[in-house]
Amino acid sequence: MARRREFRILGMTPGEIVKGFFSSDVGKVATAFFLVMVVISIYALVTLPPNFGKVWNNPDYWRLNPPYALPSWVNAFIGNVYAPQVIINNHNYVFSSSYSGDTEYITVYFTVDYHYKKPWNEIYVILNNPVVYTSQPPIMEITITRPDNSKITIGPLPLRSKVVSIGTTTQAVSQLSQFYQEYYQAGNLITGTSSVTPYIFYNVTNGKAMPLIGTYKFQITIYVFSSNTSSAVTSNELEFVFQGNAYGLMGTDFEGRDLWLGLLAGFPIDLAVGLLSAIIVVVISVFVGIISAFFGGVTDEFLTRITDFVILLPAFPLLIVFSVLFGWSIWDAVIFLALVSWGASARIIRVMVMQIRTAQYIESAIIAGASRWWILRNHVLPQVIPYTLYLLVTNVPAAILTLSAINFLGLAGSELPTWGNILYYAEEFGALTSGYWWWVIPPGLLIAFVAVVFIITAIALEPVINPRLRYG
Amino acid sequence: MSLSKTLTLRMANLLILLLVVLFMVSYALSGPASKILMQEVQQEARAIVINMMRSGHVNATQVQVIYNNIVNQLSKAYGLDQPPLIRTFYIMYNMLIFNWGYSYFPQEYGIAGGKVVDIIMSAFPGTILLDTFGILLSAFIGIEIGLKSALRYGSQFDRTIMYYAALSNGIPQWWLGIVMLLVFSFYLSVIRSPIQFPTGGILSPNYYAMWLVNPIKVFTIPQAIVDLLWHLTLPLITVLVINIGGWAYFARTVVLNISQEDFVTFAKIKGLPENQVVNRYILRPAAPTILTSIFITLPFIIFGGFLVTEMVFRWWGLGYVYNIAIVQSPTPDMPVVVALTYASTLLYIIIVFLMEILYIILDPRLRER
Amino acid sequence: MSMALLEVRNTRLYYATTKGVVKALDGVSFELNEGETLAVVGETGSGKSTLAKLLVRVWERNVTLVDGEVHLEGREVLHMPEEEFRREIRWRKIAVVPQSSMNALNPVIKIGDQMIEPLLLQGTSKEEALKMAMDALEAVGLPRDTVNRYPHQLSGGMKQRVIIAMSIMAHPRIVILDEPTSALDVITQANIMNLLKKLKWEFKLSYIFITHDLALASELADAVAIMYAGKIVEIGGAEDIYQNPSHPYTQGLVSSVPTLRTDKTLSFIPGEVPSLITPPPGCRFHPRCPFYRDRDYLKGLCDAKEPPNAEIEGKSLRRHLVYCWLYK
Repeated sequence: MARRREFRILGMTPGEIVKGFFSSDVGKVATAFFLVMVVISIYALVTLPPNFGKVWNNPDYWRLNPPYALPSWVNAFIGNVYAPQVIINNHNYVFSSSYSGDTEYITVYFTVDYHYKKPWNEIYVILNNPVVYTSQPPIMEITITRPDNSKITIGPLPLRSKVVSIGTTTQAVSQLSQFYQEYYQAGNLITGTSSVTPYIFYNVTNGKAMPLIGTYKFQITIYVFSSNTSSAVTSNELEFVFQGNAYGLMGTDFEGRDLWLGLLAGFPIDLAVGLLSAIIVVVISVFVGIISAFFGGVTDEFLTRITDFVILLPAFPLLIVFSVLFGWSIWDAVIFLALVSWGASARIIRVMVMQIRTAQYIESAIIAGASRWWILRNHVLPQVIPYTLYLLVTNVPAAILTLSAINFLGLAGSELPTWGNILYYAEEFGALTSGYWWWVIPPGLLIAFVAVVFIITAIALEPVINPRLRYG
Repeated sequence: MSLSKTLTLRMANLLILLLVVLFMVSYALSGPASKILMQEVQQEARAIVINMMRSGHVNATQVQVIYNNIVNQLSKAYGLDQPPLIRTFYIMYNMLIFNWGYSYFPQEYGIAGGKVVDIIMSAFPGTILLDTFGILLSAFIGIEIGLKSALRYGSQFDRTIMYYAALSNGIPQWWLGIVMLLVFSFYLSVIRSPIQFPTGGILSPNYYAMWLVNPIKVFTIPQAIVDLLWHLTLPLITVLVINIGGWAYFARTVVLNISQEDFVTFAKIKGLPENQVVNRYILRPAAPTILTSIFITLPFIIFGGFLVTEMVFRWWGLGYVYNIAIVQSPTPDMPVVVALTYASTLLYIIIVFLMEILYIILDPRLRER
Repeated sequence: MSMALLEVRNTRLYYATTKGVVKALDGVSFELNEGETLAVVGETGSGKSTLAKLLVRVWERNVTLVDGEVHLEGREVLHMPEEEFRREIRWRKIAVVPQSSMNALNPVIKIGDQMIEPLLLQGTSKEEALKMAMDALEAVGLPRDTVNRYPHQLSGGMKQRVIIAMSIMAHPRIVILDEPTSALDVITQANIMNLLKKLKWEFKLSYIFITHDLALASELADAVAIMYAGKIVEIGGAEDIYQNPSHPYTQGLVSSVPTLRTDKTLSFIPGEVPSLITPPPGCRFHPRCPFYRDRDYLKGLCDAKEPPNAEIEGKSLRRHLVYCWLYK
């Protein structure tokens, strides 16, 4: 009775491999984390715009965000200390527009709740209508009714560009100083060196400025000149941004860039970088290993010498030197790193193929008349190819760690939001000396996460590769 | 092939490697990079000249002359006026006879005189203290743990160690250093804890100069030793946390493989007690593999992530010097870079060679053919 | 009748593997008398090597079940505390010469040092122990200076002899030999067998000789136990087994051994060794048994219930037992 031919890789059927992999605790954990990683990467690719690299490096895009800002959820742990970023647009305000001659009168009314220890840094007015600035800039007046019913008026303020910050204007400075002088006899509290917006939200007790908690009513009037109904300002072209001290899920860096987006973007980039490097390594090492072991003789000697040499090369210093000298981008670095890292893997493949080649069943195959290529195709490759997966997984962590280190030094392109680059800027801009933990900890954690996922996957694959470790 | 012949062949191999590496770095710094170097030289000259103009002491023509002078001098220094190959061999020759010359930017290192040899020697003890000692300590502790783990295969202890090893291998060492500084240096000082750790450096300023010139003297002063240890704590802990795991995993694998050998089973059948089985039948056969990998790692540490770790802690070692020479200098400090690469590779091949001899001593099977 | 030197009752040993629980030994019972050589014969996978591991209590990590009783000189040793067993029984009373002794020697330690280890543990001085080692080497036909050599300097046969020498040095009551000659050429095999015979007379040893080679076993055996799929299917004195093989499996084995001078139609036992994870129900041999195939009255019996032992008349002192429904 003939037994049905089972398809076996490295001595196990695919079913056994899958079962062996998943039955171990390590396998389950590895698969779970791996899926998480893949899902997040896909999410990043889907939600972020394809030109995110350019966006990331365009300071204007992030201008409205507070720099060095903590994540906004910090408030949940330490109480309402930091004012979050607030955007008031046509969903939150009441808008009305009317015409008198060729002047458009716009009134906007909204309220803002303030219950934090640290007020907003700045208020930005964004008027996104290009026609508006042709002849005379629009004029804006702001009246703020505070919780204690005192009123602050700021303006008239010309809106000379699309985005105007009110806290640094001379009008705001002098008007707020006046207000403080009248109410608190403390006009000298306000200096003009930085934005005076926070003072909108203070009162003065015993000579010290304290936050004034409550609801603030904002009444804003804008006069637009030389306008007609066809180019009238509509409510979706007008927006107010209160720049807070805390922002987003992961805070911001020195340019106010949203670290949540930056870290997210890092997923597909770092993964791509690591995988690419590992793939090149595996391709080269399989190639070299098989040729070396299979053809033997002078070829083997020659290739082995080259392999030994590559292993002993000081990869990291050379990578640094060349990155500096040639101004390499991250992709150049990836390729170079792969070119100097394939040695160890090639040795392993060579040993494997040697063992197969000198095995007795090969001898019998040769006697039976098998050609070299037949042996290669039917005996060598089926054993080597599955091993390459394992080899790939083992090479990825080293690639990611090395390339992150290079980025951290500020080399190999600091434009892309790789985690190494984020850390580079963190170190450059004193995150350590100022304690910006949200800038320092998450990127490294993510590097570690990705590296560890691959390491654990490799460990889970080991019983499949090494029969000695099977069966407990 | 006889023993001595094998060893001679290996030695020849390693020497060729040294020459090739030296060639690569020298050529890179003098050959294809010449255009870029020229640009950087011009940039540097321009920056110096602009500074001088700001100070207002020189007029336009003087500025032009000075600019040309600087460009010429730097070009000569880089050998940009000669064909690349000649430059390369000239550099290599000087390296080999240990004529390492002077650094281009001596002020970055704080060593009087700026001789490359001095700079490297001043950083050498720091590297030994942190990197070498750190790796050795990690290896000893890690191997102990790995051995225990292998002997208790499948237990909770074993699995914890495996997870720890996987985790520690994936964490960037330099990042952990940053986190350590954040927590134990920054936050401790913020909450005004009585015990704080320094933000970096190898010693406090009052002993620093002494260390650079005559480190041995530092060891004679008790307060200086305490200061050194205080500075050493955070970096050393970082190194240990990251590296112990890897060694534990490695030792565990080696021991597990050997435990499955027939002679180990037979030792048990002979009624030998557990500690004898472990010592004579597991550790002794494992010794060559384990010892050689300790030896192999030693030279690599300058080449690897320790470079960045030293930088993070501003620890005055070869890695930090390397970093200054390549990355932080306005243009690459070629004498230092080449000399360091050469010295490290030389050290490496010496250690590899010693290791081959050691292997032969430990494994009788290799002794004769 | 005097008490047997070794009594094994209903021993079981199971392994856990990713494919299931392997019942390597499933209820094995037998006795060994003093000065007797018991040959344990069976195919690969019959459990005979596992028996050796059980008796000396050194087994793999994934063993999940060990039970039964083993009485040595009246003492129960299977459930004795490990440390006590190690100090008093292992290598003192029971020694094992394992399969593939080629690899049983530590490659980085000299032969002599390895040989004297158990003696040093007992308090013998190093000089005396080395002398005993050299005497033992002489007894197995090796030069005395072998003590200074390393294992890789010896041939396979020489290493085998070293292991045998080690086993007799300890003067154990029982020496278990697990396929001691399988990896050797025929001439060396003959030499080793002669050596074993000589040592048996000289040192009054009791052997358990494990092999797959029924013919080889006949050279040494006083008694033979035939094992199949983790159980003993027939056991008795050597004369009885060879002249009156009763179990169908034994009969198959006997008729598959070529004879030199007489004409004999060789036969073989069709089929393969059954899985030890899911062994066949009832008698484990029934799928391959020619009687089961041909006799309908056995259907429903051999494939459902395990056969109890039946005693057969025989010439030797030892009881001849068969585990087969044919005899009930």
